[in-house]
Amino acid sequence: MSETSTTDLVLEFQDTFQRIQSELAKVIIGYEELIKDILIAFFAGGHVLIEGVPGTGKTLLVRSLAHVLNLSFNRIQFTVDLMPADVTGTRMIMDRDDGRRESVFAEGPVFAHVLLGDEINRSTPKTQAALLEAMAELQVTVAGTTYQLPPPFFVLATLNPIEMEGTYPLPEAQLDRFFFKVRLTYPTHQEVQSIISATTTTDVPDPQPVFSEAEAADKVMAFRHLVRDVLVAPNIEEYTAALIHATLPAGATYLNQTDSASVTLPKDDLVNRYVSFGSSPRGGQTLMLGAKVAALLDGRANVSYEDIDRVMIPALNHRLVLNFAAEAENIDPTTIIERIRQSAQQLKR
Amino acid sequence: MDWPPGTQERISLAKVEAQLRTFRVRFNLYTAQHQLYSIGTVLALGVALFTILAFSLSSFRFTLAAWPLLALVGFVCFRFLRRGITDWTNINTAAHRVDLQVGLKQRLSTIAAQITAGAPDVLPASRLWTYLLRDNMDRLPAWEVKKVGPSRVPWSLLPFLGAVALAFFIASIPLLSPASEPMPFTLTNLELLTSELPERAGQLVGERLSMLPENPQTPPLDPLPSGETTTQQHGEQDQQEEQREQEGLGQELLSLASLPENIQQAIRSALQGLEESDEQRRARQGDSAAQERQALNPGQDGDGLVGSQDEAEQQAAAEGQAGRDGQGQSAGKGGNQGPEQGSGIQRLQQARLKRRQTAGVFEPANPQLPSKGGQAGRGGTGAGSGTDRRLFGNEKDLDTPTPTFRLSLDASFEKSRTATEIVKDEGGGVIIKSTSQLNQNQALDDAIRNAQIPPEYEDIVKRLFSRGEVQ
Repeated sequence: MSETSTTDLVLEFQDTFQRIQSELAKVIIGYEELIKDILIAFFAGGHVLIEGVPGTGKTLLVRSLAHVLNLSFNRIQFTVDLMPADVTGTRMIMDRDDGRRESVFAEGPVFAHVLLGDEINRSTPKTQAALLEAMAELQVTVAGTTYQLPPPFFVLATLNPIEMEGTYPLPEAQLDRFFFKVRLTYPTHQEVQSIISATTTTDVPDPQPVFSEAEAADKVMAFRHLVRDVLVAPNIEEYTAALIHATLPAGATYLNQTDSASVTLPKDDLVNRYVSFGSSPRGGQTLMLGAKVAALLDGRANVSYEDIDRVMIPALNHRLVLNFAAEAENIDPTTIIERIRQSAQQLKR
Repeated sequence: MDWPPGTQERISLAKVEAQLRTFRVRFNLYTAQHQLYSIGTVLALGVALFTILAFSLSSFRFTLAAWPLLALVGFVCFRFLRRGITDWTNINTAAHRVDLQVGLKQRLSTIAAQITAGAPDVLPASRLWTYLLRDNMDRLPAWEVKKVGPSRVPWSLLPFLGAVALAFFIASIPLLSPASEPMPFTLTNLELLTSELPERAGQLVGERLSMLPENPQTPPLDPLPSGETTTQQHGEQDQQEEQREQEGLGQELLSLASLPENIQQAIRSALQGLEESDEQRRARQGDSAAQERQALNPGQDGDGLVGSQDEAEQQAAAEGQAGRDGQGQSAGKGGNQGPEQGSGIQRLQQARLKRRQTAGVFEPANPQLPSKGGQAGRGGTGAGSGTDRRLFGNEKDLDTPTPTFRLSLDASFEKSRTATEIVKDEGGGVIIKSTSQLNQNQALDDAIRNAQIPPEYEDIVKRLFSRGEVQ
């Protein structure tokens, strides 16, 4: 690919990203950074877990995103009695025109480019696991037959932090498969005022798709490949690995005692006291891919320290498993990650 | 990515790489200079401190202070050296520094890593490699070496120069001090030193020869073991070798333990000429006391011809000790007394000490005149014996060794007479005759009595001495 074409591709990526943001801003008041995080995860090829109280626009956000990208969209409302087949699909006996019957696979809602799993923690772990295979492998297996999902596949799951009774918190292994976990906070006073005025009239804004339906999937996949082409210096990789290792408490089980890395961070007291399990290597992959997207958005073909720092909290906050002491003392994973980020400044010198 | 030589991408890459290498060279040069100057500063300050301590502390206290100071200086120098090594940059580190300094957001680090890894020829280059190269090319002017590179001369040069100046200043205090006289290096002493050099060399050769075994057939080294050598002899040889090794180890430890003292001696001798150590001074005082006693009984010396070197040194030492009473020195004594026996260095020390203690000022041009401002030179009974160069024969023949005789004069011991008299002798020289404390004066003259004088002058010298003694 010539220099001009790569430059154009980078510029097109930046332009597309900006257009998506501006289109979403028509229907989603506020949440600019949150939308940016979701888009970063989307172009990095990950899935996003959104935690927020009801009525903050989670479903609207995902629906609008699918509409703007002009990709197919499905929604699953997770409930206690939801079965895996309701997610993946199942084989059904269908009558043919000639009167014969045959077993036909009826695709579930998972067969879409953008999937909204609403209140995923309300379903049983068995059903959750059905979705997780699709998220990790981009495929589902039904009755011994594996079906590939159409790329790009993007899952946006929501968590309701209240009304926890009768819910099934996602296990750590499943949480780890989400690229980012973002939190929807309450909008500000001005944002609430804007939401009220913009959504209670007949003139409801309608976001416009940035891609045509035919080229949407290809464009998104092209951008995802471009993201992986972003170059990384070795010191950035060392920095990322050091961040991941810094989330592990000193007395953690399965800690490799023979590790003799040259670039390390001292174990923070906060980590040692409140973290039961730190981030997995998948967290490092998340950091790097998210940073690559952030670098492209900044018009760079290389990752910088700032890019890593930019995506650190959404990439790691659901990967730190805190202990009871942290809950008792109301310690948030974000606090610990911020502390690690501050102590990591010395590695940049 | 296929980039033939000469393409725009190759040229751009070469430009970036060249500028980065220039920055790296400049940075490493700066770092090396900085660490060297820092080490030099520490060393210069250490030398200055050592110099101060060497002159202000006793040997024992200096030893106590020297080790911590040596350790501190060594530690600081080691730290600077290690810092210099760790700060030494390769091309990747240099790029990282530029990135942080200019805020390039690791653009340069990334491309430097790619260059180091062999891109674009070796690595399967990314599609964004060209984009990154162009990005770096656009930012080349932002980090020109003259803008962001360190200066050619580090700021640590100023502390270094200051420390060196301080060290020289402190070192120059004892050099400029009136108490210090770099005796061996003055023109006045040069003549004296050179005049006795052949004689001194002959004595040294004689000493060495006297240390050889008397039996010339005995081999000087251990003989090769013959067939008759017994096991016991082998064992003894082994024991002797072990003992020698242990002694050698002990000597090494002793030399290490005496390192601070040696440093102090070296500093003192370097800055103040030849400073006597406490032990040397005590030894010399003991010897001079013995010689003083000996001078009171000159008959015990014997009347041999040429005295041994030890005798000559003792006499010279006694001569120095005799002048310590703080009174005026003999007019005839001084640098022109002619060749003396014994160590020239010791005599130089003693002459310097005498002159310090003397109230008057010695005038080399006319050594027989009484010293100015001091008391009339006493003890001048032998004065003038060393003033006439002809006393020792023709000057051109002085370098060749000639047969000498030793003067044997028994001066009378008269302590009750205190009159001092100055008369002129036949040759126009001044003879100072003092009868006060004649024993000391006689002791002062011992060197002249025992001086090696050519036989042709025997009659003249004897006549002069006998006349002086009689009068």
